[in-house]
Amino acid sequence: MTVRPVKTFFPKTRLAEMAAQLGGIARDEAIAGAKESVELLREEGDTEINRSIGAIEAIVAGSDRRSLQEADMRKILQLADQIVTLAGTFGYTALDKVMRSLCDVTDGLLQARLTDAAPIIVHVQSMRLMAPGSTALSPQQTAKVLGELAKILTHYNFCPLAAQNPSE
Amino acid sequence: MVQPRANLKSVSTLLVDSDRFTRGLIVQMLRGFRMDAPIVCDTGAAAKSEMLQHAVDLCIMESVLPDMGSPELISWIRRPEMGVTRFIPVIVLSGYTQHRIVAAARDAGANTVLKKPVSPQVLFDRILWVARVPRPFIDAGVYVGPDRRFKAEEPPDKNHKRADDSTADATSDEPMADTPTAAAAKGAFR
Repeated sequence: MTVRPVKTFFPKTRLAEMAAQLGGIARDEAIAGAKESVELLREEGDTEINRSIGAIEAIVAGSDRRSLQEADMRKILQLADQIVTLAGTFGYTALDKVMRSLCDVTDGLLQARLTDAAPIIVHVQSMRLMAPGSTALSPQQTAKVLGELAKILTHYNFCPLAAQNPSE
Repeated sequence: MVQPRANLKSVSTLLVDSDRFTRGLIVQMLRGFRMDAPIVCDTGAAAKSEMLQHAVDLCIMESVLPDMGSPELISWIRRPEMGVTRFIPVIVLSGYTQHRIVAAARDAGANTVLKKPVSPQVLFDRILWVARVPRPFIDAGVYVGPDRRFKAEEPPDKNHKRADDSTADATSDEPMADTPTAAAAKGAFR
């Protein structure tokens, strides 16, 4: 058996060359500019969040409310993941937590090959409460909702996705 | 204090993400960094086609594309047939539910993996990090990409004096400005 020799290169990339050029923008200025640009998308982002929430609600409404098909769960997971990105970007902290919890539960159900709809329905009701444009809950009410959702994860003994080892 | 500056204006960026809104967010961030508008694609096949037609300096891609995973696209980029393009920095964006693919993307030759949502701070610092902190490029057959072995230690006296003192972990999604390696990142920002 022949062993292929390892080749090592020390490339100077064009990105490195350009980043080393004189002039340009200071870090704080770049970040402030980017935040400003992203903020321009807030309204569109709110619409997109509500559209995705609506799509999840439609999937649940189309079920018999006792069980969900695997394909439906995968679609919910995809939509919820998208909402996590948007909620995090635009600072909807409570919604972000609800959606992460929905992802954790849905992924856990899929991994365990369970079809229970109830834990997902509870999350769907909660995310509507936290959606942009909804009446704001008090911090105590928000904490209560999040606490109840956490119990679902504990009940099923699912590990949050964020705590799982990516190399597994 | 006068901040050092970075000139990224004419960097040719390829952005590959199937989600229209995420693409919009990243485009807006790059615009804020005063970078030219990126080439935008929503599939791996479209990305391959663009890379064969245009010189690309930086690739930012979603971890799971509709027609292939990021590992497959990265492996394609890292082939010897791609010439100097095989060395371009690749930043992978991973969704909350896509963590299982992080290790695969890294092992396929990604320079760094960032978890969505990506803040402007994290994206800017990572772009500068991949640009300014040199890493050898390894072709070992089973692995082709930037050297995955680099020190994750503070300087002995914990005093970052030079850009070379950078100890940033490329696979971490921690905002560099908030970690002990912030000084290293800022040191690299010259």
